[in-house]
Amino acid sequence: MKEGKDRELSLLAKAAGEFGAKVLAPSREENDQYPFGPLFEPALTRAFDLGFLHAGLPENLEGLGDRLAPLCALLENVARDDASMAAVILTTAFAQNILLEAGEEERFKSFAGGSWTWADVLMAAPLFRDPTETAPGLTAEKRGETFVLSGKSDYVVLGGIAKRAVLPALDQAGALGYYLVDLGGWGIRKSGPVFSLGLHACPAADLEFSGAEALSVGKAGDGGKLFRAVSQRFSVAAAAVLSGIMRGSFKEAADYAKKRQQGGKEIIRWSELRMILASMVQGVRSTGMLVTEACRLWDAGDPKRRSAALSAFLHAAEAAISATTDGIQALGGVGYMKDFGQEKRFRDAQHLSAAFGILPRKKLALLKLTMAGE
Amino acid sequence: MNLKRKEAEKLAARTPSFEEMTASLHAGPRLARGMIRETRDVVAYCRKFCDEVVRPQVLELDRGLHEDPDHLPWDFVKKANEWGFYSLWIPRLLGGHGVNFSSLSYAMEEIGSVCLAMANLIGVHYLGFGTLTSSGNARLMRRLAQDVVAGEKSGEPCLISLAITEPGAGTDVEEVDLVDKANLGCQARRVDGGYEVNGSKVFISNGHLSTWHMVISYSDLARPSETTVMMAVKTGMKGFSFGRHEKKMGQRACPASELVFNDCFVPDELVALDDRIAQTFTRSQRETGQQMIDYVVSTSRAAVGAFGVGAARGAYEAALKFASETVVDGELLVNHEWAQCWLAEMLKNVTLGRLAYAETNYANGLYGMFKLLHEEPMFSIMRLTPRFIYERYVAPLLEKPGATAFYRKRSYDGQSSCEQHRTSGLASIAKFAGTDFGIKNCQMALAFMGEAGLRQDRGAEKHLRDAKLLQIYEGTNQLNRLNLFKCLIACGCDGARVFEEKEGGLS
Ligand SMILES: Cc1cc2nc3c(=O)[nH]c(=O)nc-3n(C[C@H](O)[C@H](O)[C@H](O)COP(=O)(O)OP(=O)(O)OC[C@H]3O[C@@H](n4cnc5c(N)ncnc54)[C@H](O)[C@@H]3O)c2cc1C
Repeated sequence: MKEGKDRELSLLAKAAGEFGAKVLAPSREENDQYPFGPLFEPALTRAFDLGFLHAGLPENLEGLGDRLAPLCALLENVARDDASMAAVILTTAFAQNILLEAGEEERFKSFAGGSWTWADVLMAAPLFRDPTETAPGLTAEKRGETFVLSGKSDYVVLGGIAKRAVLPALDQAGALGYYLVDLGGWGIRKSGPVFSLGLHACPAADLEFSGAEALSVGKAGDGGKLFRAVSQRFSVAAAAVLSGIMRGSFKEAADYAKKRQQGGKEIIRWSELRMILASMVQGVRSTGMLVTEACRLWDAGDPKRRSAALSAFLHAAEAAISATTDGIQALGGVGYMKDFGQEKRFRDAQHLSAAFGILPRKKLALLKLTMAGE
Repeated sequence: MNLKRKEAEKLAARTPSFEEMTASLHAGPRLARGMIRETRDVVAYCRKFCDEVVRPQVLELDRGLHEDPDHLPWDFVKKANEWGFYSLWIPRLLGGHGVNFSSLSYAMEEIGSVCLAMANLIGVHYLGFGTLTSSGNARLMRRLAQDVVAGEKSGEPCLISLAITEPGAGTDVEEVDLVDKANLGCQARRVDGGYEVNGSKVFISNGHLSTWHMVISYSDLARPSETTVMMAVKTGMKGFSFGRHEKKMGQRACPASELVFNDCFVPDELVALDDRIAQTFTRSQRETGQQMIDYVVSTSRAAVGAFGVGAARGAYEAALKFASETVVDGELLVNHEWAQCWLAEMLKNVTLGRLAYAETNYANGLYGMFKLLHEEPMFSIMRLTPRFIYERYVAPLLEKPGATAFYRKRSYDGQSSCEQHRTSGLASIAKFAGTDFGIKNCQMALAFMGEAGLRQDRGAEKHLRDAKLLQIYEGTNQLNRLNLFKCLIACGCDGARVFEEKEGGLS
């Protein structure tokens, strides 16, 4: 995205980029390995110190404020080197924002205020899975002031690590709502980290609940509304992560093409290879512009901000899948190997695009918004 | 139709030539009738193999190979050996089962739709054997084939790899027009009684698992296109060792290896082809080199296209299963109209990819590697002749130089340039279309399945990781497009030159 003359954004982008290059890149391969080792604690500690894990919060909660642009600038620049960390920040911010959107700021402060380490801040969520698309496997039953959860919640991102999660569940009347759960509590079985396509250093777990205590978030039956409000805003943030992945892929491809020789010259001097790089640039530039514009509309409270956000995400998903496929291709055989970042970017881009739920259905959602004049 | 014969011939010869458009039409009537039944049985056999062997273990094996990247999956390799897959397509004349070659592509689609790594284990073995076949060296073909068959009997698999790629030269060694500019480092120096090889080959599929390696090297690194040496190197030979075992994104059950040569002496009896032999061909050494490459890649690229179709099909089947089991917005996904069209698009990709590799194989039967064995009466003679007749009377003939000379004459001198270009061009289409369809469908499946597609235990994501390789090896898809241009476009386009691009303008 374009930071333009916004000094605050430029500084943030620079800090995030340096963090990616210095802290994340050197151990990217190691952190990505399956079976997963311990979480990349030093990197998380540094991210916490830099305030990145609070990034999605308003200023009064030590975050980057209500504007979307700073969060996107941060995510994009972190993702250039390792999208897993960007996904950790994104997931936590998403879960935090479900709470805030539901008006639960006081409750949030009660456990997150004055956090000392990254472990206090991380929050888990089934990322962007739309609970109205396929019904959640979790039910919530009222017991006095609180609720108890039963059933399964699959693929809860950070579910094996975070202390708390925000999860969708159906109440006894079948109404969809969100619930705040203490993951250290009784009645919760966690699987090991789920082996997935990408984003390995942002692991997910399947959670099984049998009478675990939970607090309702917002009003009963507001789950769909909450999800839509937060996920639409965060679809721009996800587009920013995809944009960062693409930028990283392009840089690696272009650097390699300037050095690698075939046919008696650097491969960048073959115009077909340049055409591949050009397509990547097209994806990078167009996505960057859409993310910038979607941030602007969102931050201005524009009535068309929702459709702009979804368009940015859908475009970013297509462009990132295509660019990272090309990003491997430009390197030939070495692009397929773990030693280079390209195969990881290819997996991460595809992963993040599909973690949002059924992609073509999102297109229909865009149409619906547009037809409604939004 | 009011056309004179001459006029019709002239019009039909116009680009695209009638022959280029209609390989299947020409091949159909000539095909031996037994081929249909035999191919059906191959497909059925592969399905049984997948049901009983591959599917039940493939995801666990993939996980295990991530946990221990250096592990060599011998049990998996041995299963295919037990089922006879490593000699199924070796001609009976040489001791194999002699199943028709074009059925290999259908088999690769079947197995690839479940696990591309297993398809690659089998397919690459035939790439090694096919490359040896292109040399026409009947004696060496028999020797390696015998080892493969013996390995099947003993339970110790004997696989054959093909080693061309070097650290500094990948695309360049796939093309005669480029190889003279390549940054080569692996040299086969002529010495008394054979060659001494020094250097390394990289990314060699099945390397660590193979007993034999068909190695392509050059005796003069300044003139590689005229000094190509093809030789068989056996695991354990002095001066030959394995280097790195690559850490790949997918196809983990099929290792990619570095082969290292350190003063490795290869005796003449293991040399399948070199410049001395190439001089006996009618065409120039350079032309013969290109013809041999085309001869091999016309079959192997069809097979890689079939791998791609396998990936496309595996992804399509995963998406269909998901759509039939998942309720979205209160209705089974498969009943949403847009989802029906999505699945139809995926099936279209599978079908078009299959048509492309099948058409290429018809061309191979008419003009290429399959020609000798696919037509009657040869097809039936091969099947009906008892094995002891081969062993007692035919095998000794293969040891004679005349057998090799006959094979070479028939295969190379008997093939016109147009035929060579037609098969090679079609093979490139099959390769890049099939593998692009493979990637496309994998990506469509994941977009369609949401989070369910991302879990390794659901299988869909593995297809994508496995399939990406297909756009890279057997010539990158860019090289295959250029080969198609060279074979089927440039000849009708005055002034067109390939691999001689002038720089300027936007460079
Ligand atoms: C897992 C794996 C298994 C393999 N198995 C085998 C095997 O069994 N045996 C074997 O010999 N090899 C094998 N290979 C090697 C494979 O064939 C090469 O990787 C492939 O030919 C590409 O070569 P390269 O990797 O050197 O890429 P490069 O040739 O360096 O290509 C890099 C990029 O430059 C482009 N490029 C290069 N030259 C040109 C040009 N003239 N015009 C336009 N673009 C150009 C390419 O298309 C590509 O996009 C394997 C590779 C892998 C990854």
